[in-house]
Amino acid sequence: MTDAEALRVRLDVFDGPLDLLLSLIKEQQLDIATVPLASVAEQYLAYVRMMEDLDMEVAAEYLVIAATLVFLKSKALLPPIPAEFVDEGEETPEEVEERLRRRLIAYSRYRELGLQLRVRQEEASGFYYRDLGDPTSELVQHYRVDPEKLKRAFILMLQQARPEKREVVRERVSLLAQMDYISRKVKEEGSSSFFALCHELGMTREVIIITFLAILELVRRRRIEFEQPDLDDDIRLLPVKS
Amino acid sequence: MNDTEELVNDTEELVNVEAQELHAAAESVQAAVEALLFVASEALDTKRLAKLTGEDERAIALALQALEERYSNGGIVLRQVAGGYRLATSSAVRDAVEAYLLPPKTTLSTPALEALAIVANMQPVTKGEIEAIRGVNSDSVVSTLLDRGLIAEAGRKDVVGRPMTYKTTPLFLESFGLRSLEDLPQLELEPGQPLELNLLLPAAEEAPEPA
Repeated sequence: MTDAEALRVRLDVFDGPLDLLLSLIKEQQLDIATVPLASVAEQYLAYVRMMEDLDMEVAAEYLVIAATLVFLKSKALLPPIPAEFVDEGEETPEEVEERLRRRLIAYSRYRELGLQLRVRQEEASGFYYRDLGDPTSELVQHYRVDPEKLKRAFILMLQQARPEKREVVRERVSLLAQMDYISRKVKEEGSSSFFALCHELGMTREVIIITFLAILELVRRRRIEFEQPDLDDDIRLLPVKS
Repeated sequence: MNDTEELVNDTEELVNVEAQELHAAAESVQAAVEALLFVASEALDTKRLAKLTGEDERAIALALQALEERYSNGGIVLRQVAGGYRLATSSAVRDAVEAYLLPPKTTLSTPALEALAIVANMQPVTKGEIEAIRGVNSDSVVSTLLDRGLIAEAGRKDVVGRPMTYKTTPLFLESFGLRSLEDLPQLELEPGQPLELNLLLPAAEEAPEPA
């Protein structure tokens, strides 16, 4: 597996930027409570860049955290801004980092709690309760059914069905009208093709047959010419060279 | 037989009769409670059982205790879930039960469990608040949890945009074998580090609720 593939596999399993950030910290066995968050900025950005390279839509949430990490990293590299240049109420890098850290810690706790819930659910799943809910309230399958038996029951009923009278109404596409349409189209557009005509007219069995018959008839009458490079290829239709 | 002996015998007999009557009464309470738990498709608490049987809660508690013992090693067990009691099939015989009943779809994705943990701890909670903690859009996990009946709407929050809030349902407690919300696995909170949501929200996201 190439690095890119490895990353792609991993990207798929991340559930948001906090999840990604948490995994990066855990991967390096750093303590979430004390690690300078800027220290995983590089790896974080590498993932975001990889997402972009893979044409994944990078959610805004990823970019917000990326921006925060870049900010923290830049502050770590630069000398502190003199107090007189800091706006009133503006957060210090330390405060920004602290807030992100607390989000991360909160997130990691709820994630952990979620995993504990999974264990509880597994333990509880062996117990079944009687459920006398309204059987018509929703279509939920509660009992095991054998599809074979269902099929046999269905076929049995079908065999007992009374014969029905029915009228088949056909929407007729006339061969002449179709011939007319095709020859005009070929003349006006300089060319056409069997596949294109069928698609254009709706791909029903009837359309395909009539179109094919119309083409045969037009060719026989030398109203159009055709080309078909190979057996399974489309049939190209051309005007008759005069 | 002298008078004294006769008196003692009479008294003993009387005590015996009383004990028997008491015993019979307890058995009939037990039978009623058992029947109610058998037909109910929800957890019934002591109070409700007392009302339904016309007995006092102490008698119900004794009956439940006796039932619990009686069911302790059979195919049916008495479970204390969702703030009450329910009869359930024992997990020891789940294979046989599952040969008949379809096992419920229990698997929830990690994101869904995460969101559920947040709702369970912070309810009533808005989707925006869930998203603030998870750092990611949570529309689909919230609707999964709603579809599964594990969470339900809990009215609108009285803030700008009046976002909907969510809470967990009794089904949540049952599916996770929890007696009540107090029974939830605890978040390890360090002292002096409460999870205050407004501190978690970045300033720019203080109104994260889309209408």
